[in-house]
Amino acid sequence: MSVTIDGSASVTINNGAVLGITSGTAVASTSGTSIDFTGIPSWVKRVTVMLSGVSTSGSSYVLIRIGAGSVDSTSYTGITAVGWSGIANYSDTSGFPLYYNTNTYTLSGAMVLTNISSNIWVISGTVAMTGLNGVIMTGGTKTLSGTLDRVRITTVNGTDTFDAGSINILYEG
Amino acid sequence: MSILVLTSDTLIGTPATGNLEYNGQFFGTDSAGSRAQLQRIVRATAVASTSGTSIDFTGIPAWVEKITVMFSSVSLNSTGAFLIQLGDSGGVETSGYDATLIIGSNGSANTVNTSVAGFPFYSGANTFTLSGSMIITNITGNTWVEQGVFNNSTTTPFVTSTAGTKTLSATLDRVRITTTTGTDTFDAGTVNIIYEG
Repeated sequence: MSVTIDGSASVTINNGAVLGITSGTAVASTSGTSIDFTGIPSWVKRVTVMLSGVSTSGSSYVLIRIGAGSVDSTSYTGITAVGWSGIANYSDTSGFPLYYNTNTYTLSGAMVLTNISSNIWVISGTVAMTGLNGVIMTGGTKTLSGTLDRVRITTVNGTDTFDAGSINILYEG
Repeated sequence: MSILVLTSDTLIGTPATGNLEYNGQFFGTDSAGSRAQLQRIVRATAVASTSGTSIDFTGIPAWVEKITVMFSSVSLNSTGAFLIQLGDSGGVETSGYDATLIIGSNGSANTVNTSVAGFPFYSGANTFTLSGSMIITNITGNTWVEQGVFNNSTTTPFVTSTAGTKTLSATLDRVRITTTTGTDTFDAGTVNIIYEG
């Protein structure tokens, strides 16, 4: 016997989990100070945040935050480094940071959030920084107070606006 | 010819248009003709990395094509670097790796190290705690590639990134988390893996 799934539809198994990868709806990151992806199902074990040609109006670093019921902006242990001809790093407790930024640089790449146990999530990923000819590396961990259901992409100062590119997520469980 | 029959007892509810919904497990035939379960990501049991010189995850099924090794605030009692080693039915393999790590620390020159004993990522002090993940992917046959990023958020914050490859002698069935010295002990944090095929 064989079971063929042709990819044109989803297959749902125990607890409502869906086999395969579910894509969010891509958002043009051309305005606003933050972009939220909400309604992430409770069975998800991995969320991939994808950035394509993303830039902002200022020099505040881009942050990825997660939440359970609301976005959490404390108690992250996120470190990011950018490597080009030199290397430098930055840490932040209000989110997982992507270091660093100017209004002329664009970010492209993916960050992967993985559920290690219960409500503990770890992040890992690399993002290219066009303009600097650099690569951003970020790792970190965050314990939520409940089940993850949302991801926010914003900036450290919360006031710089997105002005180019697109952002989306994939999730799977 | 076989027929897949779903009865009302096995349906979760009314399927959405185009969906196949079933309150059970799906099995099928993989490309090698072997029976394989269709399933979502499998997460192993998290291990408190608070003692011992190595942590093993064994019994990884043959159909697995991707493994994610996750660290949350893991530290050692000394200055060794972390190593991820792969293994098969013959045991954990401790040679033949081709892997490199880079350390991104503020104001420092790039630091690069290589390893043939495992997939490495930097620790460097007993005060450091590392968080992040490494993704190990089966490229073909028994050859695996990895990439990962981990951070240390305590004193002297840094990011360590790693990439590499390893060809096993047989089908992967285990992953070991240890150190370059083999004698440093874990003293904090949580480790776990998820695997998928």
